[in-house]
Amino acid sequence: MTSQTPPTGWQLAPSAVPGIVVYEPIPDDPSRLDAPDGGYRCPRCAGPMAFSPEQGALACEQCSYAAATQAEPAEIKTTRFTEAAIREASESWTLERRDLHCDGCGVDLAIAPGTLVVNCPFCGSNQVLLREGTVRGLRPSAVLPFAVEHESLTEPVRAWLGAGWLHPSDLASHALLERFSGIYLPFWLFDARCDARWTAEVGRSVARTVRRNGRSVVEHRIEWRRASGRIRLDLNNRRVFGSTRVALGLIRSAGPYHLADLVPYAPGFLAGWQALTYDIGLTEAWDRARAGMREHVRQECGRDTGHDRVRNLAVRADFDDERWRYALLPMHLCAYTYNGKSYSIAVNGQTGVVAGSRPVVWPRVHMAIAGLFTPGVVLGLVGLALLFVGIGALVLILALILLLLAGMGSFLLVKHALFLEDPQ
Amino acid sequence: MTSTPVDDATAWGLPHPIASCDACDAMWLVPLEHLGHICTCARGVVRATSSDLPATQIEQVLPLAVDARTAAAMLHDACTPVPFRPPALDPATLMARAHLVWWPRWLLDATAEGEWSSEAGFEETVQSSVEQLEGGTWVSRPQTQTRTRWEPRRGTLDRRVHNGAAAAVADDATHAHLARAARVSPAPFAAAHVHGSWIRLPEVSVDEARPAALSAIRRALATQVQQAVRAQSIREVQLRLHHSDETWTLRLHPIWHVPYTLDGTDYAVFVDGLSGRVRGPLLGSMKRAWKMAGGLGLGAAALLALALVLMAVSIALPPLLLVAAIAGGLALLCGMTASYPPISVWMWNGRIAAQTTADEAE
Repeated sequence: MTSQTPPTGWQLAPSAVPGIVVYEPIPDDPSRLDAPDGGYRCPRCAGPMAFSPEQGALACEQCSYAAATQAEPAEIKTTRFTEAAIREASESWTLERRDLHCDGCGVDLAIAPGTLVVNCPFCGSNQVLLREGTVRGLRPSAVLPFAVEHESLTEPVRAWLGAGWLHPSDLASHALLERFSGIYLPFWLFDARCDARWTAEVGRSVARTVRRNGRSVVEHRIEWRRASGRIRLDLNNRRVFGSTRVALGLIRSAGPYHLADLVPYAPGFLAGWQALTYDIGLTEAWDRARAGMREHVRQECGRDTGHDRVRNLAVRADFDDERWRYALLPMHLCAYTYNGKSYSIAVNGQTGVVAGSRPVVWPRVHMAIAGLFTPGVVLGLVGLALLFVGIGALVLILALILLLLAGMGSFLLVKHALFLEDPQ
Repeated sequence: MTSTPVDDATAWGLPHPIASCDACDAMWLVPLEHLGHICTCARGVVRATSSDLPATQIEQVLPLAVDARTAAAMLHDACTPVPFRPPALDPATLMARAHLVWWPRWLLDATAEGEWSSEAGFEETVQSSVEQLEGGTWVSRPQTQTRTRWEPRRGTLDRRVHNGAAAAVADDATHAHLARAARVSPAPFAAAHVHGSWIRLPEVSVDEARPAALSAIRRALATQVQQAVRAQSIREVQLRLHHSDETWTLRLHPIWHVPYTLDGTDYAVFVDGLSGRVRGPLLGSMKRAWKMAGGLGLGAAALLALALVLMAVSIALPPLLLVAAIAGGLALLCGMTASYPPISVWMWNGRIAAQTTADEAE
């Protein structure tokens, strides 16, 4: 008689054939990925524990006891676009958790139990409400742990505030920095394979000598011919930010993440940190990612033609083995006040790259623009004077060119200044 | 193993003498009047021998499902496409020489007990898309595709598995695929089933047949494991089994043996007695093809000669030049057509030879 006792890690499954006993792996218990009620407590002194970037583990805030965030190593699961997965992502499961809602900017944050929140990390507002309740959302499958501590941020942020000639000289010393908040931001990560077939007309410049009015003239013309090809691309880790609550420009300015360091999600990584819930669902995020993938495929097909001149490019891209992950990536957020106005700072929680909004001294911008236009104006006046001696036309043309360059430079300068002030 | 020693052929209830092939040494029980006939190997004839009957009892037969008339119809269909078919391949002639042979196979019933592990493949529907760039605009066409999700499974089993088939004769591969196609319920052996037919005597012992039979049982168990886990496919099947309570059965399978001679060489064609499938070299006659080619060649030569004569005469009578040209054209056409018969037979026979080799390899 065969044994009916499953091995460790396996459970009895239904069998359609008598005499054959089937075991299947015990599925992950979703509750395993929930933080314990009341938060993580130190087993030695019962003090609160939080994830420490320095130690890469859960650390007690009172006695420095450290514990691993994950009981055993696991692998990051990617999910296919099955009907069930899409349904789950749209309907999702509900989770009891504490949320912070800011009446100032409307942001919703998941916060660790026991966290004392006074100001909103996005807008600095103190109009924050704690609310208990059910929040709909998928459980993350991966997380990129914080690698940069709060305490080490003040100096680089002050240095960043003091850098650049468009900002007030006393910005670094007079900016009133709020407390940094480490927040995990929601990202969708997509992988896909693409088999793209393209057809196009490619052109090459052909020079030939022709006789015109009794003289030999070299004529250049473009010869077009049909071409086709096929490329296969692996499109991995296409990132789509899952929230509309934080300015995308701010996130982009804080630089890229090294996604190779992603680890499977465990609630311990979030202990002592906050997490922003996504409000851009899987389907919408996939549409955005696919648009980016299509553009990449178009560029690669254009490159595959091997020609600079390409027209009537047609591409048929078959996507295959599409998979997705929902990941949390770390960001330190902070608001600061200067001259009574609030500004935002974001620090990449993995690389420490600082980005954010800084006040711009517009008179300096105006001075710079005036400086750009000055050579053209002066040369124009000289050219007008030289018209009387017959050589002014050439100088006027030069002045016009300088004025055009000054106009372009001014446009770029204003655009840059606007971005520095508000990187949306 | 259920076998009973026997002293002579009559112990199987048959009056047939024991015979053996003088080319392949295959042992047979054949009707007395068939002594001296061509063996199924087509290389020798069967002659009476003084060897002993193997100490084995036949237990089952798969009753004949294709009678001589049906076999003739099957042969007719199979012979129809043969180019330049020799008279020997006339279905009626073939069936006049046909006789039934019974082919033995070992079957093992055993109880398998142990552990198994595998990867089970479950089909799932996924959403994908085809993106098309035309005129600078992307158009997305959603697609629903079926893909396989592989999951590990393991377990234990305690099953009685029936009919693990193994060869009972050395050249079993020749007819193994016919046996696999059998869907007829077996019947207990009775002399009436095989009376007047040839019976191939087993020459592989159960000990020699055991590895192949156990392999067949493991294949059957792998299929049953797939059914047990309700998977659409299965891979990486590993079985750690203990076999017990083994029961061996010798089963006979009916095959029509249809010998024929072509250009002095003997060939054997077989019609499966259960499914009617025809197998064996149905060759075109190269001799006939060359005769036809020769006739066409002679015709071409005659026309060419006529054309030359007419050309010569056309010097005096120019209108004859047209007739000469037509005769020349016809001569060319006949000459070209003359190559068709041998080429078509050569290609057909080559294909048949390749197919026969592939069947034997299978």
